[in-house]
Amino acid sequence: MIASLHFFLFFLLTLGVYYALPHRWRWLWLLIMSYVFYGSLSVKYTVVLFTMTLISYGLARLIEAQQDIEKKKLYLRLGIILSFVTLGIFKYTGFFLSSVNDVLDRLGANSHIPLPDIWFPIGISFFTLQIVSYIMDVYTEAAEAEPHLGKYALYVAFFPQLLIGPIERASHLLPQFTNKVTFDYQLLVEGLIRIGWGFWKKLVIADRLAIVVDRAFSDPSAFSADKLALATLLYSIQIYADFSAYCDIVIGMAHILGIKLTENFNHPYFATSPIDFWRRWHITLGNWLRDYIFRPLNFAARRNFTLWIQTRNVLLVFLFSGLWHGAAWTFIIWGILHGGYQAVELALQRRARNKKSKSKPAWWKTAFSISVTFGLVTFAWIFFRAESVNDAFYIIKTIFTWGNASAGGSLWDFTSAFERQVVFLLIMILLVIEIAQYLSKKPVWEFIHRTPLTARWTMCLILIYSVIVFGYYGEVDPTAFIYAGF
Amino acid sequence: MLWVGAWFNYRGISSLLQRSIIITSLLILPVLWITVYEYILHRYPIDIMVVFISAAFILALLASTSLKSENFARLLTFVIIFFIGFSILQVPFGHSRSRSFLEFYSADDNTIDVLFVGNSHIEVTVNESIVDDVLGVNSHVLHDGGIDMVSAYYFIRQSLETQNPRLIVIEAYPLMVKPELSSIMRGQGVLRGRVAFEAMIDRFSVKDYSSVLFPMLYYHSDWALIDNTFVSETIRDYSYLVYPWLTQGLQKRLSAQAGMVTKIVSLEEYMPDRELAIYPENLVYLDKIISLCREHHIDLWLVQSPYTIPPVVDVEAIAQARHLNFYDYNTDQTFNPARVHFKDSAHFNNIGTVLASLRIAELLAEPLGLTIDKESYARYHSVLVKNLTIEVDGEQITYTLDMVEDDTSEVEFAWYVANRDAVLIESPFSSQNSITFTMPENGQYTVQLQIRNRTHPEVSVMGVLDERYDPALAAELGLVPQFGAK
Repeated sequence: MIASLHFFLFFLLTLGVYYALPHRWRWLWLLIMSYVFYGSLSVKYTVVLFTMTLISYGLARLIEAQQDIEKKKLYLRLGIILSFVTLGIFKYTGFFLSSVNDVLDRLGANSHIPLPDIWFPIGISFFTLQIVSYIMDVYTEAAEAEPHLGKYALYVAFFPQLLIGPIERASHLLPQFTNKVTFDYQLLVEGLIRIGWGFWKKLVIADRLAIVVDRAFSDPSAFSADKLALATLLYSIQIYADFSAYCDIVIGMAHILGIKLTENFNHPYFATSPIDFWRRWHITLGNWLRDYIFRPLNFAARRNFTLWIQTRNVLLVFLFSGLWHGAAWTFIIWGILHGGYQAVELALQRRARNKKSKSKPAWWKTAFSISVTFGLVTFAWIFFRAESVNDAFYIIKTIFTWGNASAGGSLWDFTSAFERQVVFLLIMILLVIEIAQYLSKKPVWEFIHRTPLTARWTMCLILIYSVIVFGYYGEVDPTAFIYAGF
Repeated sequence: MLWVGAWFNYRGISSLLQRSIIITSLLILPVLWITVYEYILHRYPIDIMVVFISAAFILALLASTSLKSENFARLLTFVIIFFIGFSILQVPFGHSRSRSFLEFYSADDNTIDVLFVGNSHIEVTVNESIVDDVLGVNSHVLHDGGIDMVSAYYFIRQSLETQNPRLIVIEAYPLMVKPELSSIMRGQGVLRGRVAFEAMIDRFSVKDYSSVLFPMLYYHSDWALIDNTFVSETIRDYSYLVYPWLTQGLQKRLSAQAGMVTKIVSLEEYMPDRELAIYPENLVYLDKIISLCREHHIDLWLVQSPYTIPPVVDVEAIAQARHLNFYDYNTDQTFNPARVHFKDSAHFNNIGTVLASLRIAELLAEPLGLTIDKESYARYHSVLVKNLTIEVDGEQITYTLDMVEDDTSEVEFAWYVANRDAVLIESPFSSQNSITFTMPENGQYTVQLQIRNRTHPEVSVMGVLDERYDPALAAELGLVPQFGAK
């Protein structure tokens, strides 16, 4: 949806009117367009969105107005519970009931609980976290309760980041709706370059790799170990290209509107440890987990903060993270796996606390750390992508025993040799650009924007043309963003 | 729209007026467009809205006092350069894959004397090189897969832009193809310039305009096919159909063809002609073609390709009602029901193509005021076969070909038998007009034959005698009893 021409045109319409309107009405226009956008997916989604907005708005106002700490706590708990219960009903009812049915099966029960047909409002996982963070910030007085219902509703529903984030804090986003912004040509150019880069990653890299990856993961038994290993590796690239592309597109759009959204990625595959990875991957989620789960848990156990408590807290955080990503055991295992990585790293850090060297590690040590971290993350992606836990274990077993050599499945038999070469060439280009960005600490859109006019235009044209020529679109819609499923 | 905006900027119209105009144009006019298109023209309005919104967006930018004239000039220059580059990209990436059209466009103006128009039926019924050789004219077959009479009309319109043929032959099958967007869509990239634009306005849904103007948006994935395999195989395949003397790489083709046999079809599945019907809209466009030809003083013929089972549609009545010259291959017992000339129930194989091409040349000689070149005719005619007999003795099968001419001493035969995996029998050229072989096991086999004139070895024909061998079908037709059973 976001990577479609129609959404881009919707954005242009929004943008045109936005800057044409007097400043005091712009929030209303954005709010209307946000609800139009969400309503275009399904009108009933907007009912959920509006109800959750209204309740959280009222509770936050009550929290702020209330002097009695116990009542404040009551409202806070009510807000959190209502938000997560709503999320739970829409997202986890099916998973919960099928798990119960599985248990009943194992116990030999004859009857099963019928699964209700519940629809899933896209983006609810994201705006629920945003609502909860707002209520908690108001409670801790990190933010003031927004008196203006319309602007608060816009904070929850702001269309660029409504579906897949970034998960914004009220203290960061809300004031920007009041800031007076005039149209800036530089903002337009910077934003468009970033949007172009996002489209390139999504349509040229992610959606092309999706064809190969989907093939392998939909029927792993048809593929030999080398092909499954390759598909897993390609999935690492796909998910990064996909999710970071989304963020580039929406951050670029907001940038043109004069609104700065929080960065969600910082070269995650150059992380030197699992903890470092979570500082670079889906940063706004990582920060949310840290601020609203991990730190409160640690604070609650501050008097007896043992290694065990620390490990438990980390595992709980990542259990939540896994469950938040999807209502399936594969996501839960993925979360626990990442929690395990972090727990081990934290334990090692505890032991090495006194031996910590302040000097910069040798390049080869950094390279080794990056490789190991990438390997661990890629391994965990198997659970994230697999259709079932059994599939995930089958893939792992096949790869690590180098088995199923006789399987004749081909990842590429529907593509020509030339296409394969081009796909790998494009991946190499992405890799080179990522390395250049990492080393120069300068994002590619900024680099393009700062080059002289001729070079800049050449690069922009190459970017747009390569999306048009090599992008995966046309008779079929672009593949949905992976994170839109969460 | 651009200049109106620029004028506003220049004249310094009050911001209130600017904004009023912009908001009116952005919000009210699209509603009017939707009304007109949805309720009056019954067409999907999105692309018109796209154009409108884009223009309005630029207007909005212009109206903004922040957009300096130099930035506007820059933006406009970039857009112009982009569209120039985009148009150039249409050449390598937006081309039609039709050999027929590529050759047509490469012909010098006013050099084509006879034009054959239609779909796959005309493609396999007329080999223009034989017609040219025998009649001493320059003819061309302008075809595209599965087109209707609407497309045929636009093909003729396109041809008259650069050519002035003396005679046009239309194959009747387009009358029986349902006129719909998908059918004419196949013509995308084959029509150019004014005719493409007129066809777009006349026939295309508004949302497909961009595909007509920029075919690479529709065929953008063609880049993936541009490799050696694709180019060589395509050209070879077309050459194989059109230039019967090209015999190199035969074995490879045989293997490829054997590999293409993927389904055994029943007689019912294989008789599309039973469902044939004339679509009234096609008749409207046939009448347009007649008017067009009369206007240009072009002699128009309607021919009907043969079927192994005679068609149920009375095309002759249509031709008579319009005083059209008409020829029906189905009335000629040379072709029907001798399956030796067919590769399926309605398409000739190469042997049939040569015979049919000679027949059309004979027919057109008089209206063109030409005489048949007897030497050329004899060269082709001497390699024509009359009948194929198949005898089964136990597990042995014998194919015998009878020639049209009584004296077969000038003719040499090369036999090929292949299954899905390999060529099983490959005999060198000899005077042996039959082959006997034993099926190694149950399965599908392709029996192919190449015939050449010993005194003119450059003239040879290869025909597929049994491409989709279906024992049940063969038994039903009384051709071959079950064989190969072990």
